[in-house]
Amino acid sequence: MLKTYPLILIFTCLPLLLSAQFFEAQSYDWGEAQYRERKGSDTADFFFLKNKFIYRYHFVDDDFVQDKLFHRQVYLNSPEGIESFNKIYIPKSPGEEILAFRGRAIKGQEVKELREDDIRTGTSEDNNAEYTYAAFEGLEEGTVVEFYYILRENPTTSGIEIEYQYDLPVERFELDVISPDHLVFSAKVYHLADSVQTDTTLEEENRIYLHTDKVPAFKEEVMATSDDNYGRVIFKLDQNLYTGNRNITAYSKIAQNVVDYVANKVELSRSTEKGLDKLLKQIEKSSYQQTSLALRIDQYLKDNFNYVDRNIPALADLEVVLDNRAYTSSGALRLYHQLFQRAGIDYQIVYTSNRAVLKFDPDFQTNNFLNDLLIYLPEKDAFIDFSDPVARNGVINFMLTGTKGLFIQAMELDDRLVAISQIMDIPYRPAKFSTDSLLVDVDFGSDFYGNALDIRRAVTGYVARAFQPAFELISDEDDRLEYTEQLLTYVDEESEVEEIDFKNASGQWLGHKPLIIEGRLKNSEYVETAGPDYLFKIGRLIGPQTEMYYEDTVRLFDIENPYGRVYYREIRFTVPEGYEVLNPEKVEMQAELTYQGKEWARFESELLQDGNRYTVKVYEYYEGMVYPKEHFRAYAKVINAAADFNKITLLLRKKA
Amino acid sequence: MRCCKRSLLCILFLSGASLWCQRPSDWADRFGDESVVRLKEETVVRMAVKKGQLQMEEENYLLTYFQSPRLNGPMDVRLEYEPPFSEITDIEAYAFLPDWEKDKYRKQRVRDFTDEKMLDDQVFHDGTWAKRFSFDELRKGAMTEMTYRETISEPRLYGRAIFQGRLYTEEQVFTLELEKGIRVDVDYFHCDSTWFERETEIKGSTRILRWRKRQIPSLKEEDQAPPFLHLSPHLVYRVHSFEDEEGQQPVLRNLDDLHRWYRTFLANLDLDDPGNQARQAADSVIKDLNTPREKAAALYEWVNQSIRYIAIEEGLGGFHPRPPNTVCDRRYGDCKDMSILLVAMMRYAGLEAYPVWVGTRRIPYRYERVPSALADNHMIAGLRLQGKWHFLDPTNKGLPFPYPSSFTQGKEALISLNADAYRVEVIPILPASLNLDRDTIALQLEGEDLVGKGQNDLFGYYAHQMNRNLEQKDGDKLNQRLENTFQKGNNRCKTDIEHYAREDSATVVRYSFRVPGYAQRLNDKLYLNLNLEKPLADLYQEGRSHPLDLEKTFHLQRVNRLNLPPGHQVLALPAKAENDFGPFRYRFSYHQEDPESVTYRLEIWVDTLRVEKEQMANWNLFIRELRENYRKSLTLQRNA
Repeated sequence: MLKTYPLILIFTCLPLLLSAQFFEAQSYDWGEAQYRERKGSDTADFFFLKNKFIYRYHFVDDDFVQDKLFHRQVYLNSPEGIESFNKIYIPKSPGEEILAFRGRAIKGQEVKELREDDIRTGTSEDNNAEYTYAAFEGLEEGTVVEFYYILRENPTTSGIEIEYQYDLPVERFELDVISPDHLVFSAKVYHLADSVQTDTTLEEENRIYLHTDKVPAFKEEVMATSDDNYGRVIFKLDQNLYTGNRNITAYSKIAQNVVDYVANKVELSRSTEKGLDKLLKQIEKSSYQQTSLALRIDQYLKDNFNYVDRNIPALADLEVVLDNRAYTSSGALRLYHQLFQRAGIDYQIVYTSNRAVLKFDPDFQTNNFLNDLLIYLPEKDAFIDFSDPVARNGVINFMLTGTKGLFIQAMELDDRLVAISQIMDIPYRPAKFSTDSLLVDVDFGSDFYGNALDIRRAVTGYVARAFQPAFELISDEDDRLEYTEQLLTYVDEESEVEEIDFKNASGQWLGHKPLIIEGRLKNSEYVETAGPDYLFKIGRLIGPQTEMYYEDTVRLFDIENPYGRVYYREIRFTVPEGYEVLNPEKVEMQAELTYQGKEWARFESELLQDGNRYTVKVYEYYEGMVYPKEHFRAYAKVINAAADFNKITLLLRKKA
Repeated sequence: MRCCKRSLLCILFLSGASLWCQRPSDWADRFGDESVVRLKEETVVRMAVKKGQLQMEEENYLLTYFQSPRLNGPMDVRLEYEPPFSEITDIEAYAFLPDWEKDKYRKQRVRDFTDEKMLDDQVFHDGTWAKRFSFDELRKGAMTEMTYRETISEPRLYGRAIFQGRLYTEEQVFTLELEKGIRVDVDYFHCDSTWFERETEIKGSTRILRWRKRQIPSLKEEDQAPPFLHLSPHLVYRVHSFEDEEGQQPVLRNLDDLHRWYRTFLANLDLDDPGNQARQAADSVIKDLNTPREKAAALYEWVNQSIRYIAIEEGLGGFHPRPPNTVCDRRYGDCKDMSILLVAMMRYAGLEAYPVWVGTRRIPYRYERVPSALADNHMIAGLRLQGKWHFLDPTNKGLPFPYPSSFTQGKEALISLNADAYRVEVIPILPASLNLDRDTIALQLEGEDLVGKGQNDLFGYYAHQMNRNLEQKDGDKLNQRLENTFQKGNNRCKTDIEHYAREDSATVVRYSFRVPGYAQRLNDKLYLNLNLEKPLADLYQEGRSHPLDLEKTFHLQRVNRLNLPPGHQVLALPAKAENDFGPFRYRFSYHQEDPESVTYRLEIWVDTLRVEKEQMANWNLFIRELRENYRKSLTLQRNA
């Protein structure tokens, strides 16, 4: 008996002891200040000794709360490092509370801890968020700044993402998620080899954790989606053992919530019903030329309503929306739903995530991947993005294509709409959808100095997306011209625009008709002199080109393109009387990328001659979205072919 | 001041009533392509003397029309003020929302106001608060109307009425209502009194002065334009003095008054003794140094490098420097903390150093015309060395001794010699010769590849810019940045940085590079453009409305010496070219000093901080000629 008693005591206390070891509301043991000087090899401005998160879900007076502890130690290695960490800001959302905040600067034996009256609060001018902030004293190169805070946050159980890889190495990273024993969390790690463990020793709480030493620094690679490629962990509540609820964040459940919110729970007043009918009639009568009513509705709403990217509940109320001609995402979904329903347009709601930021994961279902809302029109196989003013006629942000999304269809069942959801592809458009054609007629003038360029450029698809809607969106005429002139001056930034004319200059033509720019550039600098000879910098006339001359060819990540595209350029010139081109063959180039029996990218240029009249045709395209990293060298060859073309000079010499 | 309250509501009522009579269709598309129009802006500043105290308050009225549907939805308004110097009260705000069907406006009152301490990106902690509210339902055709009162307890910090801003304004009125015995001096900037419709009236013991302007276009924004206050027509008014029962009480009659007031902020500091820690720091910094100049340079470097700029400027704390010892211990401070620390350390070391107030180039005033707190916004240290003044800014990291911050060049420095004496000196504009960027490259051709080894020597503000880069220890990032800076010829250039260091008089970077295929070979000839970079080529100014501001004067020197490839000779060299446009000039030259090499030399001088509009044609000619010369190549020929 005597022997077993202490053991029982230990086992009973263990969960409590362990829990206290993490932290209790306002107390956390951050340990004695420790210091070790790191001289020599490190060339970073600062590096993280420790980044530690503990998320603790628990009940306080029957309220379910989430306390987050963040504990950081950072070694400051240069003035730049000091500048980066001599101030600390802790953001706080409404309803959140900072339970504890301590900080200290350590160098050798000297420890300077933040005093209560060093800690201030204020609201940011930029984002209106409330911050608690403080400045550390006594910082020098070699100081370790250490701080922790405990923030009682609004509980989030549907997915929290922690990006724990940085541009600099992290010596120690810890994440603990502690929850009452009936709530089971699960987690997934992206892009790093770490795994999340489950602690089975606790009796009254659950704990999953990821503790790791030496998180490698992230190295950015060109033409890869850098944000998405950082190492991260996402965790979410998976099961509630009390209710027997499993897969709590399953997308099918979210889908029904969305349909309820957009349709089932909306009650319209008579005046709102009338307002909606009237609005639809106005749109039907409008002069927009889109091929479907759904796209005309989108165009009309984009031109006459304003999307407000903030959480303002009133702007989800259709009565207010109609009055104000403004909506939030929620208001937009409801408005589009009502108009589509009235017009008998079949549609689906789509949740997805920008693939450059966080690629949609169909397997680990959390709200983190439901960042962007689209509307899908099955009949036109087109997407609407009501939050994006330049997205028209299905030409949405390209980073939302070539990925997957949660497609939610509302089906009528007993006077109620039920959600049918499935994960499907948002297709990547073929290269021919986005074209950029440039026709340049070179006028050397009588003496090569009065030179001018007559340019006709036609752009479609994603190339046009940045410009066509601008004609409505930028109201100031001077600003609009300054912006759209780029389409011409892109050929030569330093030249002057003499004439300019646009065709199909309206968002309503995006995706249907090319935006055409015609104009004349003066004082372009494509002719250089060398004694009596002239150097015709013909390559410059295709505009500046991306280069990949000196990139590492050993890559971690695949190449990922924003969108497929085709360039066609035709440069025509007549060699002035008495002159000849000495090296016309220089303009002929070719490079292509082929794998799996298919060509995925090409650059090709050719020269046609008719007497002293020359035509150079340049054709270039990139079909694929993802090019496997093993083809990087061949891919770079195509890219560099265009960059090489850009440097081609033809020699014009007076005939003997 | 009860009368003020009445009149405030009176303005609101009258204008509100007039809005009721308006119909949305009256306004529709009346203002061309303007998104937002200020229909009326009215400010009344009232001053009275009560119990020997000058009381000042400002009533503001703003009526705004929204013409673009892009603004539909809520609009946040933030009215900033700075306790204890000012307070905002009596805010009333209304939106007039169009009902297009009935062609009527519906009036909606704003009811929720918050009062919050604001955070600023630039200043770590200052005393700015804001009353905030939102017009929740703006839409095309809507109007907003608001009035508020600002009570000002420190008139020396206020006194400006700006008449041209970012919005087109139909009518703007500024009124001063001065009780008898209060003298206010008014001065005009970028306009004169005839630019306004002016009214003066006497009502009882109150003198009323009114300035009105109608149809004021919006101020166009342009890159590198002079700061706003240098362009916008505005009034500066300053309380000279007021009378109370005891006679005339001075406020800001002249610079003497301003200096006397400023000196009260330093009253509790011992400028000759920085305190124990700072003394120790000073001792260790100057211990082996002999000359005053060496000591001054070392102390400046120490404060500049060791103390980080963090501004904590709340209330009166925004004017009172902290004790030097505290700043030294904390290792951070704002401009006044850091400059007072430097002054005290220098004085302790036996140097002649003084606190200095200065307005940055953002502010267009001279102390003589505007002897008020509007004239300055910064503190630095003045050092007198062998009879010459130097203006040291310890907040400006990496700025070489003894240069002033570039943003104070040409500005007046108010040097406080002691509690009663001061002098005003103009901070010199660094001549172009001191801001030298000299790049010297030894070049050779390997086939058509151009290979070079270069050294860049940077002086003055060029050195400062580079020193800021060198503060980083992240070698990869720094190299990447420098490699981009030292890219020559075209983007095929591969640059390697071999050495960089801050040396005594200059900051030096040595590098090597190769540009594959840069030269053009055709049969026996090689064509080569030795303009490996094209400085200023992108600064041609088309259709500019405002002058062009430059951060610094400068002298660029490029010397590229090409070793001729074996068996080649020069067939044609571009001719020498030069032109002098006064403050800006250039010279290109190509010399063959020996049979084996050709030396290209380019020098550009820009010796002004502002290209005025009347100089713009010359400037453009200067840029165009530079560009023309950048297009000249030399020709080499293989020996027969």
